[in-house]
Amino acid sequence: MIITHSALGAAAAEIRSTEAHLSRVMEELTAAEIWSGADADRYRDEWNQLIRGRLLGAAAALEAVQLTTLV
Amino acid sequence: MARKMGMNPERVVAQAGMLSSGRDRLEHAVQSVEQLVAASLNPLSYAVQPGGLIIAPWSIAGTNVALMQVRAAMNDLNAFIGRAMGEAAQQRAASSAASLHATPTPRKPLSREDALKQLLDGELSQAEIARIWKESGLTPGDLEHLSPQQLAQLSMMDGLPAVARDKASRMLMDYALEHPDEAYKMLGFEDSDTSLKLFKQQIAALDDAVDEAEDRSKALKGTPAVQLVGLGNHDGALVAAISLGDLDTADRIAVNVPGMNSDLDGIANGSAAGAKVYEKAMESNLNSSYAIVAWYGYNSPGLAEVRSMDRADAGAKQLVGFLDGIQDSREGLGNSIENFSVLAHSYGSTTAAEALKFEDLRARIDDFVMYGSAGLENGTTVEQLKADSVHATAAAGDNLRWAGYTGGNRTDPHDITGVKTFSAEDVKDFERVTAHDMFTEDDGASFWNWGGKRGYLSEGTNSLYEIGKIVAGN
Repeated sequence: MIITHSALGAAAAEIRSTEAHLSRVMEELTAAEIWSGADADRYRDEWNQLIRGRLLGAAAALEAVQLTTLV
Repeated sequence: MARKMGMNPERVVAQAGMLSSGRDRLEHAVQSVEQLVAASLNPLSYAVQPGGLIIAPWSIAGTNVALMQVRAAMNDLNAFIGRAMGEAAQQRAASSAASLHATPTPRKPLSREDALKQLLDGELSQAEIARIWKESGLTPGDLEHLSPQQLAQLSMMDGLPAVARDKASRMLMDYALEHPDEAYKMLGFEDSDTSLKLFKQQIAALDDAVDEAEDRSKALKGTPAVQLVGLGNHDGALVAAISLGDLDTADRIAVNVPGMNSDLDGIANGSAAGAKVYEKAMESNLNSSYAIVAWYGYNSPGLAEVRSMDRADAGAKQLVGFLDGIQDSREGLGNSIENFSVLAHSYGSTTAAEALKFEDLRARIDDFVMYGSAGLENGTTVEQLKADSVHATAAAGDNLRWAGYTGGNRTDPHDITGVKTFSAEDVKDFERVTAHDMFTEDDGASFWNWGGKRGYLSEGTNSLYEIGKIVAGN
């Protein structure tokens, strides 16, 4: 594999897409009719801090990568 | 034990199961980042020559940070799934004595190796394919070691989740780019109408189309995933499908069927057209996710064959398998489809109509949209077409669609009772469609099209606007 802007962007997009999918499932999981209350709130807050934060951070890190020319 | 107020444990378990299916996707993302890290640390081992691009030294840490983050998220996800399951189990135990009743013995988990063997044995229904993929915990990474023949099998395996078909199809495409002579034979193109030269040309065109789709997706709202969901041989033609949007999770799916003279040389154009539909659907309903598939999955006719139903009948069987496969895999993954549309251009509408008339079709199609139709078989009724709503449009400036009617055995969908129609002309502030094309971009005026050549899914047309609304459910 040769590293390119396209490859970096594709990996970042894949991470963002996965994050969106997982977070949508998690939102449904903690919807009022499925699971509500303090435990559910804590679960959601920790999800946002840990999984969501890490995935978005990973995508941002890839998008910030710069390339240079081999001399 | 304290009762956890406000919990439906069965539904919590079901949702946790959906998180488990999302684990496969995350694992795939981890592998993608691992490859980037390897490439960034060892550029010379990938034969980068002076003048080629390498990662800037000050950016190497960026890929490592990303890898640490996605790996940590993977570990967290496993913990979160276990936690939700545990909370639900506690709730069940506390809530009633009924929870003590014996639960059905769970099916013995299938090992990944056995699951792959079953899939490759080729004797499973599409629903079984979807179930086995999910229950075995197979991931795209498990396909890395497969032979090109096995990848070809999985690439065209209807019912397999899109994330798996994408992996198999891309690996197969890479193999065909590197070993075209071997791939040509392996895919059965010897003695077909597809020459080796054409095969090489179309594989390269497909590779370019996927790259273009990925570039294009970055500018679209939601940055939709690009998936190559099939690569193979149908009746001697190289066929493939590109989805803009995640077919495994999108709320709304539209499969766009091209017409005569469509082949992989034109799949980039079909994918660009899909991006326009995606944009318009997003503009119409932002609170939904979409997957628009450019389905170049059948051997389409040339102009001389367009009066015949032969290509439509053969293509319809392929399309039925593809549509049913999407529905089966989504049911297997536990992700229902909110809206499922079939869009069809020119002879694609002839083909798609035959598919929607199939008795065995299981996919539940909400909307069937025909644009620039080359006609449906005489006697076709709306009731025969298994779609909740049937729509059609055609432009006065389209001088080619009539080729399909010259034998007298076709009916214009506009003349079929119950078909809803919309304009492709310059109504309101829209531009009129001036050609038969599915899509043209910024094509200037010519002798034949003095107003500029503009297809049905071109920017600024009412046909594109209306199709976007239909896909969006508005």
